[in-house]
Amino acid sequence: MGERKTGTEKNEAQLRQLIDIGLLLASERSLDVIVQGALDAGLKLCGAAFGAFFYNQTTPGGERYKLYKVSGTEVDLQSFAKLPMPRNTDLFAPVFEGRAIVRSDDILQDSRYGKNAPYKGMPAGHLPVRSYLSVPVRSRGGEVLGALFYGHPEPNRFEPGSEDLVAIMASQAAVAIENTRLTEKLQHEMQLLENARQLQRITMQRLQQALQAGQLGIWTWNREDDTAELDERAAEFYGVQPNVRLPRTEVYRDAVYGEDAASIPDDMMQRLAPGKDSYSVEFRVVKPGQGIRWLLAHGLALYGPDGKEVVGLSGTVQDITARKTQEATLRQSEKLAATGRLAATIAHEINNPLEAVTNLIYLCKTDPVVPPAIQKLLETADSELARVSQIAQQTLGFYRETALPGQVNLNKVIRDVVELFSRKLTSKKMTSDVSLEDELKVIGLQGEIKQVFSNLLVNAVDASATGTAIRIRGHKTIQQGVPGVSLLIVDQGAGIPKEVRVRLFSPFFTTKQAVGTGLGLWVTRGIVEKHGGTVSFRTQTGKRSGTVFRVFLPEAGAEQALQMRPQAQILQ
Amino acid sequence: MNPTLLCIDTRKPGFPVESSAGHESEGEETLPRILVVDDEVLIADTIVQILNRNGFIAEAAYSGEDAIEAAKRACPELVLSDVQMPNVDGVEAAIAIRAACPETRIILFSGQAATVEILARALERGHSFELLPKPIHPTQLIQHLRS
Repeated sequence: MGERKTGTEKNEAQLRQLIDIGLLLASERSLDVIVQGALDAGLKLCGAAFGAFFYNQTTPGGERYKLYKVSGTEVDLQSFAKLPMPRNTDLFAPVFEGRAIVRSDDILQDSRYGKNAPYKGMPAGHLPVRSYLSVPVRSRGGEVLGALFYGHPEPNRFEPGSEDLVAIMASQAAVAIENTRLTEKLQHEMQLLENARQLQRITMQRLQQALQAGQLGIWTWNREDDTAELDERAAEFYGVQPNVRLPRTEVYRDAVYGEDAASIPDDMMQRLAPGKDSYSVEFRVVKPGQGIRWLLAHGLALYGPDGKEVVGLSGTVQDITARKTQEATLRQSEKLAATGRLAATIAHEINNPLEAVTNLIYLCKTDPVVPPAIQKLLETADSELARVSQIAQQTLGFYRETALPGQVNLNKVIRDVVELFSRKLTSKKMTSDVSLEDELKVIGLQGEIKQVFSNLLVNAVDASATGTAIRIRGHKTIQQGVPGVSLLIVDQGAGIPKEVRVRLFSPFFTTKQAVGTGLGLWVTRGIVEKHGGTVSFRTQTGKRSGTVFRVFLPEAGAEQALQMRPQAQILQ
Repeated sequence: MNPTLLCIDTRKPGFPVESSAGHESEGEETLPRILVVDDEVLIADTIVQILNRNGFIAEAAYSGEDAIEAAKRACPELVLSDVQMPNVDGVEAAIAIRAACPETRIILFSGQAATVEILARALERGHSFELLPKPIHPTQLIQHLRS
């Protein structure tokens, strides 16, 4: 350092240095490298012995740091670090404020030097500075990014031209520093964007999961052109294409159930009651092969940019078929419970007088003083009264077996039941033809099984015209691997019409206007299934009409049958 | 024979052994003694008459409390009791009677549909009784009592 070349050689060399540092600064991204590079280049350009570059750094988080770098062969970083920060003196202020370059040929002679407390000059241990040059580093916008300081122990080392050189380089450094800041900022923004995208992905996922769990579909309606767009789930409810704009009427056309379709308003805005911006509505849709489903739709008004005009609606649609079915079932069971209570009350009221009269007739009947003719009358009375008891139990339908399950002799039960109805059959000029295999025995409750065949026989007789026959057949069989007994009750009645068949076993359903409770077959099926068996029928209307009811009862009773056959089925 | 309230039958039953008012004379009679309990007088009395004609010595009680009293005086072999009675119902009476007369066979008699509930209630208290439905034909009743 300090070699004096010829004027032009020196200029050339300096320009070359300037070009080199310019290229470096233009391509470098690291703030450290830029600062050090600029500082070192400046040192060479002005021929200083040592220099320092004070600069600011602001992190993306907004924290500001004042940093510095030093250059020069004799610079002792440790001792330099001990020096205090340059303060707002006449020598430093112009540079830190970015106003002007300060150059002094001999600082000790300079009028601006030595004025300020506490040091009134250089603090002890300061580098020996006589020649002094300091240049601000300013961004294009005028922001002070930092300042360069150069010094030399000998005075008059810095030429006026070196100010310009260092100034040019300082501006190049400023650009480079600005670029690093922009790059950092850009990276920061990109990271934020990526985080936001990630968050959005997660949120979308959660939304999808929630919609899936709630079986909710989403729809939007555009007021201007009366079109609607449905997501996959919503579209599936209506059987239309998802995620495309469709005319609203097209969405409804094939899907909404007749009655409910009539209540769709011409203008969706009518859905909103005055003063309200949301609504909900239940309606049915029908899809081929899927039957009727109940849907619940919610809608919320969408506002335009002014926040006042409604530009559309958006909302959800949900399948509530299960809930509707549950509600219907609940109503049904409440009806049954109420009926049950009523039946229990009536049953109790009737049973006592029935018991009393039965006993009184018996006492008359068995009194030895009574003449045979009277006795016969009393016997008739007795059997008629037995029928009354039977009917009471049957129509009030809630006979509860008090014994434990035991072996039931079906041959005897069936013959008893037929005997019970012998008078009814005779009055209709009907015949009964009973053919049972021997030893048909099952485990169960005798009273209940008796009720099953009572119910079936009553129905058969009621359905038959005069002069026809009822056939009863019973034989051992194995159904779905379960050994048991199959019993058939065949009548030649008019048969069961199609529309009646599906509801046959439903409670409260009857075709016997005045007298039917609609509970007979329901109770029958309940008892049969309780015993692990099945009940089914075949019927024919028109010519050669008639009905066959078939009851299968497992030999070993309910539990065993359930173990062998996991689910009971009703054959229709 | 203890007269019933309605005095339906004043004739003596055609049994070889005549019972006196002797509740204490246990060993002499071979006929089972049965206590019939029902707050419906007509039912209790007709059943008593029927049983008396069919090889029992029957006595009527018209309330749960009376039944317990009668049983405490002399334990019968059998008790046939209605369930639905005011104050002390059949189940309560049965439980009290069983405590006083552990050997007695107790049969409950009910016109109610909820028979299972009756049995369950007794079971909760640690007892199990037989249960017959009302109305029951006298021949079936006798058959059951004899079995």
